[in-house]
Amino acid sequence: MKKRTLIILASVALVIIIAAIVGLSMYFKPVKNFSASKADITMSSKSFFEEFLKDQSTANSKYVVNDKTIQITGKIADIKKNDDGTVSVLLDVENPEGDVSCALTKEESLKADKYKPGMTIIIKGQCTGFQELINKEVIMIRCGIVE
Amino acid sequence: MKIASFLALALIMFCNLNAADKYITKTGHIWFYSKTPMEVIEAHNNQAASVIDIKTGSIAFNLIIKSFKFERALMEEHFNENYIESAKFPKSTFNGKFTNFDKSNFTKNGIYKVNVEGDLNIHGVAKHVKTPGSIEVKDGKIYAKSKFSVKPEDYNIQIPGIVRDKIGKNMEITVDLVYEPFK
Repeated sequence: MKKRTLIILASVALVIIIAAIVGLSMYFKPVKNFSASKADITMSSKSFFEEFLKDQSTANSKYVVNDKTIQITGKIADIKKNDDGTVSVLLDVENPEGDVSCALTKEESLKADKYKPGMTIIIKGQCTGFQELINKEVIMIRCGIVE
Repeated sequence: MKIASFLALALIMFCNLNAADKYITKTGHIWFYSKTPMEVIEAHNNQAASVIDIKTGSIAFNLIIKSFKFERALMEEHFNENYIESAKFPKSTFNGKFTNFDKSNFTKNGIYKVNVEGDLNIHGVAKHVKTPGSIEVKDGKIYAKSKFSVKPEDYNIQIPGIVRDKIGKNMEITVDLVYEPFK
């Protein structure tokens, strides 16, 4: 009888501990690593840009809201170092008023040295939306270089 | 004499053509912070787009809400889905002007205290706000800094009682941008 009570108590304690571990790890789970996760969508910078240009809200619900990992292939229009040491890559979209802007993570920025304007690059990351205040630009953050 | 005045005129026109009226950034840093005994909340946006028109003294911001980066996935999810509703209100904007400020300072190296006043739109709600800040004009660039706070409830952001103690009554917002001449 005593042994049985002990086993029940021990199992209850075990369940509570497991639940606490699962709960806490969910609570403290870091944000998805977009640059390392498998691409959900693969497309060219030109057609990606044109979808946003055509209908921003449809493109937002397709690519932004669901936190999809987006892989974009395009020609580098410009590549620049920001004040915090990270690198932004602007992809050409065959439209003088626009581009796809990709902000690389700190680690991925270290790999950017060998890339120059005019080269073709494949970048993977999170799309956050469309900026229209200055030019027309699809914004990608948390990006990594695929090749 | 005629030639001299013609040259002077040509020089003035040339200078005007060269001087940029607009200063821009697309990689401005804006972040918010709140601390209570139960939780620290912090998120950074490095993709803030902003334009200063030095002729009119106006300043505009366009912020994509999804570009705010948190460390923790759950916090980022709650922020986007429950509070700021970024699917419904994907952008936050500000349109305002510098007040009590001599516009000619925009082209003179120095550090200036400024006041900015205008309409801040968050979560689909527009409010008139005023905030002090500083700008530094240095070698053709404008460095702008400001810190102010907003109450989530002022922008119709509902925070349930059960988590109210985790989220500060005031969100401290810090703005740190480097503007370059717009060519």
